[in-house]
Amino acid sequence: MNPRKEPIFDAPIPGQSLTGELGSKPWEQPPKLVTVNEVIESYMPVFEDKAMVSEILNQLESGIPIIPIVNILIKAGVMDGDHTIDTGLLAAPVLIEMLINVAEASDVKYTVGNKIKKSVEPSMSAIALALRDFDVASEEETTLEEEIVEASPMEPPVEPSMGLMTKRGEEDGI
Amino acid sequence: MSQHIIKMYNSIDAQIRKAPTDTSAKSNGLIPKRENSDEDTDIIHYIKQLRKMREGNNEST
Repeated sequence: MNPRKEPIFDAPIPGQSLTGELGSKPWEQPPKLVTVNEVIESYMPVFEDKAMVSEILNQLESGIPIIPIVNILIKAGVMDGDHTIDTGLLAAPVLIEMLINVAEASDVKYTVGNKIKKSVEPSMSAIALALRDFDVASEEETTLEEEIVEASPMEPPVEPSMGLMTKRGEEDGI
Repeated sequence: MSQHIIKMYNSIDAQIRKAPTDTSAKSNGLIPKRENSDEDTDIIHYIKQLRKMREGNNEST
């Protein structure tokens, strides 16, 4: 079921991204950094910036795994046209290890996020959504039952008239 | 994309953890077997160095 009731009118029109001039976006240009070594070197200033490191550590402390953070870093690099998504992906394990080193050096508890959960527990939002759907369904059922009860009140069965003018065939069912 | 990163990280992690084998490329024919690309070996080298650094830091503390 779609939880969103109202349609979105401020969404981009399908194909809108193709209306721009080819090469107008940074990621449509040739990448500035070509090799994996260059990509890894380009991310080193991130780990030297104290403000950036403290922000990342805050994120790790709040329970966000390392892999989504690296994912954001790589996507930002691709959006800026620094490197392609392939070289970013190749550089990702090194960035993960760098972040692990940073977290351990500053005694911050972290999770890498590379373990795939076998028993997926439903999140609180999923439970709330399911409960809301259940409430709506039970309300609909109760209204339907009420309508059925109202539509068919208990009426006594109509007995066939046994008057003098009735035909014999009708009485006997012939 | 996170899934791709997880796969990449796990495969490299497994590659590093497994026992070192004979790395020389054997070939029976005229065409030699392909070795790992330089980029792959670079990444593994970087990760090994970073883990060594981490272990050194942990031992010192």
